[in-house]
Amino acid sequence: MVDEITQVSAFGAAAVHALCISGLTAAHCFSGRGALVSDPAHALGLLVVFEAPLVIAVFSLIRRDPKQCSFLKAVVRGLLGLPIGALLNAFGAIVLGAPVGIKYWTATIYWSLLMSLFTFVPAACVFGASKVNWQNVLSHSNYCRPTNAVDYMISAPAHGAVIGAWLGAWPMPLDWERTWQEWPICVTYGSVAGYLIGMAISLLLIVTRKRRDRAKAD
Amino acid sequence: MAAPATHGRRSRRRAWPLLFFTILALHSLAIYLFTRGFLLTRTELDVHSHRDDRTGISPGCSSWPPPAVDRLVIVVLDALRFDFVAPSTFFQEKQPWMDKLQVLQKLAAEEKTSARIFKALADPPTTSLQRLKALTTGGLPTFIDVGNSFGAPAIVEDNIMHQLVKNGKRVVMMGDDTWIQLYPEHFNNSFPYPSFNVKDLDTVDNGVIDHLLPSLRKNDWDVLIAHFLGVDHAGHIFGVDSNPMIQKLEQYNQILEDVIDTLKSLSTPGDIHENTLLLVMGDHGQTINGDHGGGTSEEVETSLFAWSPKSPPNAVFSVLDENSCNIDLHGKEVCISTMQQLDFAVTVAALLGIPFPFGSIGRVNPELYALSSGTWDNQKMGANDCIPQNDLEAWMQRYAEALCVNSWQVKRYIDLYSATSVIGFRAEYLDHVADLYSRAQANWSSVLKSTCPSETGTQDVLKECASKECTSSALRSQLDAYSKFLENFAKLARSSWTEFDLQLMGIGLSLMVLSVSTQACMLVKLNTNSQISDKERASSSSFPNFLFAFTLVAIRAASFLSNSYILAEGRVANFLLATSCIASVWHSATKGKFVIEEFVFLVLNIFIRFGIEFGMSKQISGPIISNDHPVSIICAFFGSFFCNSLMETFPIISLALVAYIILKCISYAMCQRFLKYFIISGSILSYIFIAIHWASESTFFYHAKAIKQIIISLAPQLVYTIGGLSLAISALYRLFGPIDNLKMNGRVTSLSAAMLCSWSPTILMLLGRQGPFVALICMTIAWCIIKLRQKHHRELKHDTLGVYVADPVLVTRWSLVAVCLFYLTGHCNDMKELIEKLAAKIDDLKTSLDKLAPLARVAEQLAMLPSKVVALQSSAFENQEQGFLQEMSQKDEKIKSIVSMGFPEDEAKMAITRCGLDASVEVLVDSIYALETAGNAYSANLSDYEDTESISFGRKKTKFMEGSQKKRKRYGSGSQGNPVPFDGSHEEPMPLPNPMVGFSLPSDRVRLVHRTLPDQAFGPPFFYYENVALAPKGVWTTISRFLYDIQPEFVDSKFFCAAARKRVYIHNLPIENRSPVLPRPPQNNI
Repeated sequence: MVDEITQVSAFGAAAVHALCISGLTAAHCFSGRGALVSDPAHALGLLVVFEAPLVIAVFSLIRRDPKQCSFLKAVVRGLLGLPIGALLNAFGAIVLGAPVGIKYWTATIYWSLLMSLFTFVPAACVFGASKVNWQNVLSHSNYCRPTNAVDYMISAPAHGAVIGAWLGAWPMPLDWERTWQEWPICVTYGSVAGYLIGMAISLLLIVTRKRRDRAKAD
Repeated sequence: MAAPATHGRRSRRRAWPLLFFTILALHSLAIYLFTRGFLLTRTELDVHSHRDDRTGISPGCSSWPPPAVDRLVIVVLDALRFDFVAPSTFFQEKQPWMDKLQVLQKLAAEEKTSARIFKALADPPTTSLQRLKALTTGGLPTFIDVGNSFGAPAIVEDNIMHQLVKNGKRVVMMGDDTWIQLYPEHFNNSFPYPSFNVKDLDTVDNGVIDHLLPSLRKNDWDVLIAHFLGVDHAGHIFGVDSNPMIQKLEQYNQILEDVIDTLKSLSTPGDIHENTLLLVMGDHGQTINGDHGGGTSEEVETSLFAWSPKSPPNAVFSVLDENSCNIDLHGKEVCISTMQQLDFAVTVAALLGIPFPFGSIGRVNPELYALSSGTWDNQKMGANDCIPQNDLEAWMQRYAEALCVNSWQVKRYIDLYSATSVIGFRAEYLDHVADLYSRAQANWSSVLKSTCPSETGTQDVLKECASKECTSSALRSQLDAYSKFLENFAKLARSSWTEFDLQLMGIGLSLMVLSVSTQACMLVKLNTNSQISDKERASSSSFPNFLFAFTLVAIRAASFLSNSYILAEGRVANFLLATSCIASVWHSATKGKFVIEEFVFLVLNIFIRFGIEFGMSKQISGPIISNDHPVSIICAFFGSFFCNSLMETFPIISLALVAYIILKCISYAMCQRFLKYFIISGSILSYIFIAIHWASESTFFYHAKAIKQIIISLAPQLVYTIGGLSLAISALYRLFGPIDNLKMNGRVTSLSAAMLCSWSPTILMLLGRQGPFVALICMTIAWCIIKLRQKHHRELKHDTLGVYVADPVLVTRWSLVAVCLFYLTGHCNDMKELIEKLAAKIDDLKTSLDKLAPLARVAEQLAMLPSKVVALQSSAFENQEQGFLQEMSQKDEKIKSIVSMGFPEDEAKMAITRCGLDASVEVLVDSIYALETAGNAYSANLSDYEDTESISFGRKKTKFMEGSQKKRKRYGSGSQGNPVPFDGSHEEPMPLPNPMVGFSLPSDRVRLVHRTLPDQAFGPPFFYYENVALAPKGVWTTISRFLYDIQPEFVDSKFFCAAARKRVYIHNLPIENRSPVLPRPPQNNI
């Protein structure tokens, strides 16, 4: 199994992340300035539409077992993972106190789809239903052990997005009376910020690991 | 408990309970000491003074003083700082908010004998509720007065209002509704207005203004109280140094002028205000930021202005010795005296001639007493009309009598208070004060002799002291003696009621630290004891757990630093609880396990959350349940009948479940046969009673009314009796029953089961209908946590020894669950009012918001970042030649189409410059049409208009900015500011007829909105209602409902000016031909 793992160079990882970010920026440019605040559902929908194909395609390319699993199969796995992940994320958000009124439904659905793209879909594309790999990605201990570059690329941004979203919920009860304190807006900002930071961390980890490996080899 | 332990360990274990008891005792002692120093307690005495109290106890002052004024007008301006009233010459520097109440200063300067400005010193806590209490009772209310219930703050203690009512005076109140809360049935007539909404500067004031002047002309009252709130609210929102504050003060100046004119016009002899006293006063001060509640000089110093239309004789000046005089702005001399707010109640009582409030500890203030001409009437009363006296002496005699009564009343209070209260005064101070009193009394009898020799019949004194100077000096020394007594006692009362006992607090705190640290040490020792075998493993797995629990607790602690989080405390606790659950699910997922309890816990979390939200929404919006609440969604889905029947039956079903679980629990846990059967039957009975009680309350089951009443009153009593009985019997059984051979664990279990069973029906009864639901949640959570703990121990493999070792995360979860349940049961509702009042008014915690401000700004900047990037890009794009050409062609096309409609070409061009290129043709046509209708005045050239606009704005802006800078810092807003009303309400002529936008935004393509007005709202009278858009849920729908169901119009001012303010307008003004405003001028782009 170890031999079959696709190795991703630091450069490749950077390219993957750059593609993901480009999806986000494209959606942002398209929806226009301040759209997330004025019409969150619309802006989030655009983000999902732009980001989904990019994430699914890119992570299907670096799937774990390219020999047994075709590109198409990985894409299908990703597409299946999207609603499942969205459901999990929405459940988490509601447990944590996200409002559930009719007014918020569309925004919540789009937000959880976006979170699913950040967290669940990459892993679904790459690993499929392999339990061990999933556990590895979920666990925080994989930052300490030497693991595969793809593991870093999946887990660091996902963790970042979740923690960012959690922190993003904190300004919501404050009485500043800003429009961005509404439900999905600041949480989205938090998760996107966390996602970007996670990407940077994953790149950093990959580079240091490569360097250490090289030192060991020498 | 088959512990294979050594002998030594066993003996040690026997000592554990003792140790825990020691720690418990230490904890309690520490908390007691700390609260004893921190929570200043004062016992409220429910004793009242009576008209016929004085039965000749002390000679010369055997009855309450006679009335000196007939009517009293009290105008309370909330949070009136001293420097709002006093001339600016009294201060080092003139500030913009000074000298605004010119009318008071003018009166004080011109009518020196009848008008005077006082600096009134309030006592902390300087919050309105406490101050009003102090003003009327003459006491020193603390935050927590013993005997004060949270829900109903109505005053128990004797107070002026009570005395007024009892002595047949009619009281009229208008303004702040706190008065109504304090004195629910004391007013003949009242016009209360809600004081809750701090952001509303005008509702209360306008209400008072509407009623004040008409009431002044009426004759159906003796005391009129008008409480204005505008200054307080303006301070809270904008700070003292702001435009709204100055506007408010100017408005008050106008009102006071009207009031004084009215009083003057009606003060001719025989008229209704012949002998009226006007008091204009603040209840407390405020800091520059508008905060109050503490004891700084700015908060404590407020002012009082007294004026009576009738002037007392000039001799009044000899009374006014302690004052500072200065030249005011107009070169006249103004004098200012200082008084204690404490003295207000008793002085007013003395002036009106009513019995002094029983608990008052103030002194009749000489200056205020002298200002009323009534006290100078040389009418002789009592025993002193023996020597002809001049004005001053007569007055001093009268004042001395008032003080004599005053001292007697205070002494009576001291005696009763130290006899009955839980925590009295220190004995040595009491002795000192009592000594002063007896000395003063002794002196008084000698003075009486000196002033009235004919009655006392001792000629020696007359010989010794024949001259008038002697009489007056005797009187003076008498006054001093009384004053000394009263001042000393006030000082003593202050020290025990308003000053924190730092020493006690320090001891308590250090004791707490000590006991917590011993407890921690013990726990650590226990942990290491039980984990000797696999120490390494345990420490490696428990450290992250510990860190996580610590973080949760730290976040919760930090959340108390901010107002908003305190208001949302239930939600914060729930959020943290959910976080810990999710984290543990995550944790078990990494190990590849799925723990059912965690999942159940998560689902329960959702229940708790909705419960908390439901409770809150019930509280906030009252009868209107917001449309997007889950409960109402379900109701809408299934129909209201189903919903109602579900609501009715649900508590009973869950009650049955709870009863089943508890009975199961007893039969499992208890072995003593007699006790077991007794308790089981008792709890079955009480559950049945509870069920019957609820069934009789509901409309579902029909009963005769009488039976219903009996059940409703009887059932709870029965439940409580059964609970108490079973508790008592199980306690007796433990004491005298047969000694069983059960082990420690079994005994504890059976005991706690008995306790649970005897308490649970009582608690359910008290909780009401939601009780069983809450109990179910609580039980399921307890089950989950216990199961999780067992699993945790099994993992660590010390199922026997690990009884003492607790997982820190689980412990934290317990405490968070407890907080959530507190909010779930709705107990917060009782506290809520109090908390909100405190939060809005004390603002002590606002300082912590100050610290958060930089963070907020960073967050906002972050939030603005993406939009800024886009703005940069778009501006770059616009600069390109290509874009310009495109614009040109667009412009040509538009002009062409407009010209083809029949408008002149130059007008079309101007319209395009005005509205921007991307405006649609309809907009352009609209604006041309609007210009024509507005007349030729504004159709001048455009550069002119821009100039005037920028000038006028610049001025307003800078003026406001100065004022609001501080405030803005506090609220952490970067782009807030410039609140120049853009809705056409300010005076500068706008070149467009009406700058308000329609229902859409100016940057979009304008849709012409056709609003349908209901028939009764159509046409004049026109009205126009405006307020902030971000009101609590349901407010706007309610407003709209009361205003003919007109659709609110939402406008965000950020499209017109730098400030982002969402406002809403409800109006029936015609909106046809309303053209949009100019798009943002290019120089405003940041």
